Amino acid sequence: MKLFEDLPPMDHLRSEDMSLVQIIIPVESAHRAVSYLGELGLLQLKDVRNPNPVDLIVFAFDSHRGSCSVFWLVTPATKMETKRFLLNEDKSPFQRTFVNQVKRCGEMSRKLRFFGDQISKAGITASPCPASQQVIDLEELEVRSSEHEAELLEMNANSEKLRQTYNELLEFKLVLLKAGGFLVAAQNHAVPPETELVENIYSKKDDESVFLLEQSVQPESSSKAGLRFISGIICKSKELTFERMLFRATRGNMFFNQAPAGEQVMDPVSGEMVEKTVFVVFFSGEQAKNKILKICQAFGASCYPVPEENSKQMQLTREVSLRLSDLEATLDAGNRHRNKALASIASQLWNWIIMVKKEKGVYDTLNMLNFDVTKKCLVGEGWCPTFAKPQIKEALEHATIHSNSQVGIIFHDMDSFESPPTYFRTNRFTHAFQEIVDAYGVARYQEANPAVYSVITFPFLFAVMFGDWGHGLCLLLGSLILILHEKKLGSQKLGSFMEMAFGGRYVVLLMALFSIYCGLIYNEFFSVPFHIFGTSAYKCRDSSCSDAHTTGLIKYRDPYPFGVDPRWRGSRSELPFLNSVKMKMSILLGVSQMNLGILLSYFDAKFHGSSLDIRYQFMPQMIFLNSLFGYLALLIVIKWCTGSQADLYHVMIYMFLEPTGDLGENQLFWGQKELQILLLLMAIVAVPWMLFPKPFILRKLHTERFQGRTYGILGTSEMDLDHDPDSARRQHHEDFNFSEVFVHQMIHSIEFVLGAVSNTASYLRLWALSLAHSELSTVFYEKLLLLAWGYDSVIIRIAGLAVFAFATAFILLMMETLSAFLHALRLHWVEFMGKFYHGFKEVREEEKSKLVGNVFSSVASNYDLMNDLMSIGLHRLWKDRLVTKLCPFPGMKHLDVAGGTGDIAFRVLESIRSVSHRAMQDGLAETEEQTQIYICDINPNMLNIGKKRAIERGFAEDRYLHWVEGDAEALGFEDESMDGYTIGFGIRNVTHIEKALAEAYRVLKRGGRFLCLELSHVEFPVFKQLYDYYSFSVIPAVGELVAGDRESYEYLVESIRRFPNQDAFGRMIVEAGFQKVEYENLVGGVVAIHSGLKL
Amino acid sequence: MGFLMTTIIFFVVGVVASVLVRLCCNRGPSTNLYVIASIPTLSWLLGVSWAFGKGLCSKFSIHSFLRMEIHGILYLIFWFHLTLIITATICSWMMWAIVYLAQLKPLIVPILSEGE
Repeated sequence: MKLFEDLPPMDHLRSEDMSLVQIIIPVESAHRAVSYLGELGLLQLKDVRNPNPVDLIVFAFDSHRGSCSVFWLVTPATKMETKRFLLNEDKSPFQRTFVNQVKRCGEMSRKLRFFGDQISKAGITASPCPASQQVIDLEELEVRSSEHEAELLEMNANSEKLRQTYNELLEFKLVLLKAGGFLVAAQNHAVPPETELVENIYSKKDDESVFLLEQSVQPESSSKAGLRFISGIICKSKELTFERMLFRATRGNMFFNQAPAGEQVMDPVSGEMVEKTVFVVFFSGEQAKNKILKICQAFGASCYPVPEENSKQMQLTREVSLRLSDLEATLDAGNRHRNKALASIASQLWNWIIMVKKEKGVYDTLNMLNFDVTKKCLVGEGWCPTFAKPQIKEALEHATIHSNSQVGIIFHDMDSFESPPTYFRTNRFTHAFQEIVDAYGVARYQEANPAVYSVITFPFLFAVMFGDWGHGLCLLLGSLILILHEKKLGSQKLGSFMEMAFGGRYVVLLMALFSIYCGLIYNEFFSVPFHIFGTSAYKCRDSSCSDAHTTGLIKYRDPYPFGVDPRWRGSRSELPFLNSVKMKMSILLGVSQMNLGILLSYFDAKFHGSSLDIRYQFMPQMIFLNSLFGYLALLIVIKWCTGSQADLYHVMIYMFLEPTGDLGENQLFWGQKELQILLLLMAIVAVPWMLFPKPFILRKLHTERFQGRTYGILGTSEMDLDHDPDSARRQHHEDFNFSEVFVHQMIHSIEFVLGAVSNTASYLRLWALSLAHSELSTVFYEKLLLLAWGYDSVIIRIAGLAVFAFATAFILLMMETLSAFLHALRLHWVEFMGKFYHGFKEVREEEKSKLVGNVFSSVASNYDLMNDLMSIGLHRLWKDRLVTKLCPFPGMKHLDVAGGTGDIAFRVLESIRSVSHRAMQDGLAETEEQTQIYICDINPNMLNIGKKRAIERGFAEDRYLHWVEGDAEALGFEDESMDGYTIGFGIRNVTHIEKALAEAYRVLKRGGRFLCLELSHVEFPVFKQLYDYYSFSVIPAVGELVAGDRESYEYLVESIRRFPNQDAFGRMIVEAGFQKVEYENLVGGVVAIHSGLKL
Repeated sequence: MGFLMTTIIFFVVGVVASVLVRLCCNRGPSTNLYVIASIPTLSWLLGVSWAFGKGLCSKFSIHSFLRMEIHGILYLIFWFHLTLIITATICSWMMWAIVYLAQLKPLIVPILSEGE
């Protein structure tokens, strides 16, 4: 085929042609040249100081989003090189030339961040006005920002002081008003003679508080009886415990009166507005006073003196009010001044931030250049796409002219033995698709790029699973909104979810369009069929239509012209028919896509001139796949066209078991048996064909080359196409390791042969997901909307509509989209790209978090994120509930099993602390010292996560926490040593639940409490189905994407199913010896808390 | 509408979309006419007349004409936008064809459920 010899280059299929270039810049124009190059973003400089090729860098300014992204193109790097690079890293920054400038930029960006914080706190939204900005240079900015910072800090300090005074006065005023109110009200009541009152008090022992109050508030009598009072203000949330504490501390010899403050007061610690309560405590004696004052201090209650006399009170109130209004005016003026200053900063801040970021990027890059011997020039090397050379040259010329340099910048090509980095020119449309591919692995230099086809096949396969034109229209609407507001959204900071949706807006657009198309094919609009393309092809057998319910309708004309006949909807044979169609469709689509993948491997081999790969890899692979599954696809089409009743699975199975056997009624066409034998033989031959020749030929080539006989072969690059991911090999052909090559080829072949079966089966997920989607939308439509519509009440109808809309939006449009997206992703990554695409898989892990959208990288570890994602954040509430049930007390010895991450232990500790804080008595503080919390986990990694988190939360110094590695079935603790035992989401994973329960019983003291938080069984009918769907399709998919570990999460879901239900597990606890066993279902039984006591 | 008819419609839609995308996303006047001329259905007349004209002034052979023509088509296919259109058309057609063929001679027929 000569025609294929000189094919034109296919757009986007290969990465750009790269050239290694050297630039020599005179010092005076270096800064400008580098910043111009940065604006261009087309040159990737190598760090010359560091000889290893890993640290390649390109920086590109994105003035729209105000980010200066320093992104890394990927080049082959062996692990050793990476290590060396890391060793050098700690030394190099100090030897760099422009360290000081980088530091200055860092300092400035800190100041700018501070301004940003202040501005957002003050709630100022001044849009940056790029037109009116005056141009200032970096030095000026530095001076200005320091000035602004000093000014702001001073203003903040002043206003902070004023604010504190103001708050105190405000509280005082409230106390005066309320407490004064008590006193006045009491004075008016005081009529009866005193002696009787005194008798009353002592006979009724403080219970009759009204009398005591009356007694105490009378100035004369109170002084006689030694009664005094303290008034103050306290947080409403602390008030109850405060009162209890006071009562205990004074042994009941006090009277507490309180009233809500009426308005919110700022809390001095948190700075938030909180509800407060004004209180007045009456007591007698100096000792009690001291105690009460101490307690007030401990609870953060502020005490204010209230004069007993009414007139003094009035006077004081007046004074306070006066000062308050004065202060308010001062504060307002201060705030106005500050806001003005901030607003003036805010209008410039955006530009400043960008400027500093650019500046820092420039100096970082300059640091990578090297001084030449004369110290007058900077020398740098780097990669650039060949097409960009004129642009770069032009930019460099501009830099020379603008910086009035006498000497021009030298820019010239260099020879390179290294493999160039990969660079794809993408636009806003292709960018997201390229990222999908890059997330799997960044292509090697000029490797066939799957994104060319993924742009269409990805949304298409998504739509096969998501086909419903109603839902498709909703998606289309969403994506159109994103695209129409592209400019606006593109220039502002978005939340993580919006960021992701915005980044993939064109992917969503195509997904929506294909969903509409597939929805029309499936004939589903929110699961309702329409007769858009004419009437059905089926009708009743006779006019009476009597047997339509038994034998069914009859087909009377050509099939429905477009899509599924609407007659099928709601019929009894709908499911068998759709299942059969969709299953076969999945296989047909799968076989086609896999063939495309193998075909691309042909073009790749062709491009790299590797005839070996074509002959001994592409050809046998093609033959193997098509003689088995291509044949299956053919059988499917023949069966449909002929209407034969043959059992295809039977045919396929007996093709292997008994190739020569008679096909009988399963015969679809003449000569089928012979063809099958031939295909089978071809498939069998294909396996050794892909396994053996290639390594042997490689060895032969190598020995020939080594002996120096045939230099001619040296030109081919077959040697290192498949086996040498690192470029080092290119120069060292000597270390050819036959066994390594052979094993690699063997793995590759076995992978392909087994993969052919499992990948074809994997495409059946198209059928499963599509079925799930259509069933779910049918359930929502029939069981929600139609049911509600059946009632005659408007309210029920509206409620039904609302629930239907909610369910459609959240479950079908969000969960289902996510799930179908992930499955389409898998089909592309594994089934399609696995056939031809190598990429740099080494970088995959680190790159992934960067490329998939930085969404997940901010979270500390995947574990946290998975928990939050899977339980929608509920697991925190569940754990809180567990600890509430435990009722921890100071001095307790607690054991938390399978709690390596410390979630429960931290909560227990916090709970104990708040209890002992409440109980400020001396005795309890001592008992708190005896608190011991043991965290036992079988997995040391989990314990490490927990320890790390303990440090983050400030528990590092804590002597109460003990991390123990151990098995729940054989605890290393003494008998009867624990007051509490909790196990959260752990008992499910224990091999012998009974043993674990027996151990729990053993280590607990009498009276000790056993608590178990575990995922359990949902009983609610509709909720159960939703939950099942969620756990079987969403959780594993999310697990695969986030934690990169599908199997673990599939196991998780399985183990939930196997776990005994609430009652059965309760019985097991009873059998272990516990008493008062009970359980509480949370979220309808998604989780249950079992509790028991050892008595 | 039979299988063949709809398939032709798909084909025509694909070609029209290709032409539209060619006209909308123009890559430059130099290749434009030549590439449009290479789109199979439209091209024939243009291509023949162009080749004929060319043949008048230089040596003309069927072989060089075909080669030019096929090369033009390949060139066209390898242009990214058209790769997309062609892939999309093939996917859509496959989807339709599968569902159509599956209903051509169905082994089971709709049996109405009791409610209807």
